[in-house]
Amino acid sequence: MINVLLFIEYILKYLGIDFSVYGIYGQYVQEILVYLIASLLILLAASLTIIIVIYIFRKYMADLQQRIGPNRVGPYGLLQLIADALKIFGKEDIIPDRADPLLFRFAPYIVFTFLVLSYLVIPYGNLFGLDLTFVNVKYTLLLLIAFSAIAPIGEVIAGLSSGNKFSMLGALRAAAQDLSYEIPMVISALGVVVLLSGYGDSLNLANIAKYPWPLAILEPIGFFVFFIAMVAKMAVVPFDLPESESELVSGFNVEYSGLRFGIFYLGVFGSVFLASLFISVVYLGGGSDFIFYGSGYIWLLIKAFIFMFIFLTLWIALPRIRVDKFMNFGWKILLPLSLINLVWSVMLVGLGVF
Amino acid sequence: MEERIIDVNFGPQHPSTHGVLRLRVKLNGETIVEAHPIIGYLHRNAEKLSENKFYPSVLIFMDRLDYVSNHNMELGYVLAVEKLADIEVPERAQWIRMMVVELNRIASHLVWLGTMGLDLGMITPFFYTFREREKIVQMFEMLSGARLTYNYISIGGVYKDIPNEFKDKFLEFYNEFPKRLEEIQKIFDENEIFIQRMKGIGYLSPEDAMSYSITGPVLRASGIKYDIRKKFPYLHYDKVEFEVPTSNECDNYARYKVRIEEMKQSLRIAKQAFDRIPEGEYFNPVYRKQGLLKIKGKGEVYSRTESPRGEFGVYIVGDGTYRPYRVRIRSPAFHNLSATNIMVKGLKIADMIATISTLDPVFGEVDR
Repeated sequence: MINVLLFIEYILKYLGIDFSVYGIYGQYVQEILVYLIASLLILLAASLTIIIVIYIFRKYMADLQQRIGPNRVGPYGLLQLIADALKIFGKEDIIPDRADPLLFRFAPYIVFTFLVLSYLVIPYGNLFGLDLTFVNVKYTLLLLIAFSAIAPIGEVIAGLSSGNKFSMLGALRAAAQDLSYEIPMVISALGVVVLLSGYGDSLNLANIAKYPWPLAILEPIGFFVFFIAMVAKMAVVPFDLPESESELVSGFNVEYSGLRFGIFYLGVFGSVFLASLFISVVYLGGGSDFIFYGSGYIWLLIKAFIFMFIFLTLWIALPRIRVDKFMNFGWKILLPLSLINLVWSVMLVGLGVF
Repeated sequence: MEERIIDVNFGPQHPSTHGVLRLRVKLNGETIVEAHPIIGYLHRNAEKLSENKFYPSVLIFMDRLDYVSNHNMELGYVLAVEKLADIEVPERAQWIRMMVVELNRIASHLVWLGTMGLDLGMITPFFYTFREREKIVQMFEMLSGARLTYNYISIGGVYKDIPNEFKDKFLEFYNEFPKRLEEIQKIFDENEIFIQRMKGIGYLSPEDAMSYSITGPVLRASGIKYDIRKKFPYLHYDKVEFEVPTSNECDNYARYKVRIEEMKQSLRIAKQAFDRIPEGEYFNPVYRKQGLLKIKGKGEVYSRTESPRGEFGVYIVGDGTYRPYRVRIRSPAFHNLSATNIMVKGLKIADMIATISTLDPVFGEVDR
């Protein structure tokens, strides 16, 4: 088993790119180069994933709505997204007079950057003997939660800096929603950490994912809470309160156009797949070598895609929940449930069942 | 904490205002303190323009009033002119009119059902309802050649006879529609979020409903059994069997239920009318010969019909010339919309959108 970072280093050496011969500073340069290539790899992979998710979403939605979906641009409409991207990037980038220009420009990049960073932290298991863990510090679970919690802050910034009443309402909703799901989510993830405390660093996602059996069976309540929190995290129907097209026109991103709007758009789909990966890693054994020996990555992808279809189906089929109802739901149902789940996990460990 | 009330303009360009409704809303956070509808963005002066047109030509304005249920609009005007000028209409035309109007009521309610789903954030039912509506529109296309502004019901009858293919198409629709409607209804009724969003929201008491002169499904959902088809029968509504669905809940869900039931009743009426279409003329033979332009009218008439939105009244004053002296339209959606403020006060933004959606305004008709 060889780590992907080491693999990149070997390839660089094989290609004759080696700065470490120039002493200690050269070694730093070499290390930075390796990380840079790894980040580029993730950026590319994340972008590709988003494109695939959007295509699947369109076709799947069309299927459920008895339409055909994109079918004109390229074979099976595969190039439709590229056409859309060209169109959207060609649009004028309007910054409203009442907006705060710096924050307004910056907000979409906050959302997208931290989305890609979250992708970096996920342990992808291994593919043909290559270990696809990019970040292997001790507390990757906390790191992932932290990174993914910053995206809604980007939405809040976008909404508040737009200088529009609708986007302000959207930003307030984003903030309220963020608080209502984030705490139950973290506490229900804590259940897993407690449960696996006898198996090494249980705050390390790679370590959590190594446990091959789905923890969702042992912790159904925690799984339920985590699942709902993930749907809320993506901010799609039924919890697309910050955006809520039919109420707030387009919510926090109502003033955005062109490239910046495109980034928000990509961000939604990116977070859909991120949520699928996250839930598969934490609750369903992630990329463990369960069926595909040496290629747990494929197993992870299968799980993630199943979850993605569940999320997309919810998106397509359900109406939007009302904002106060969702906050009640978050604070009065999800939070107590997640605490019960924590007690349950402690009991399982304390009684020596697990 | 200090309470700050902000003014927000909803519309006229807004994804869920069913056209060009503008709402001046005072918001306290998410809660609505006041909401006043402002109308007039689609005003095309149909009433005044009618005064410069010959009697049959006015029909094109009627077609463009409520563009979701054009046949109903045509019928209201045509009945008024026929009363004014004392024009006889063949039996066959009367039954065809009844069938067509009821089919159009179904189409209109389907559009409402789909767009209500959109307002609540459900994208999918929209496509299902429009698929069903498409079948009705295709039937209308067979009859009149047009898909939107049919201009089919005419003074003195209907413009064209029913083509032979129409019969099969109608029977196919009649057999299939109840199943499809049940399917669509399931998407809504078996959804907990939908029920939560609709039940107990947008309360309109019967007293308020009457004092705001609200008519149609909205009134019936407030528990008052008032249907012009039963109270003041026109065409042959006294000869067919149907029920008037009502509900005492007075909320959004009641309005939803009433409209769904109404679709079933409309299908029943349409089938009865279809079965009883007699052989014979479909257009008054006198006017076929001399043309419609020579219609003269003297006096005042008011015709009231039950459009999908409520009481559609046309008041015509004729001064004995070829042109009407005055045409006044009582549009049901305009009156229904006037109750917006009392219905949405104290609700959340999301509920306001849902409530306005259940009022089902169509702006061609509100602004005239």
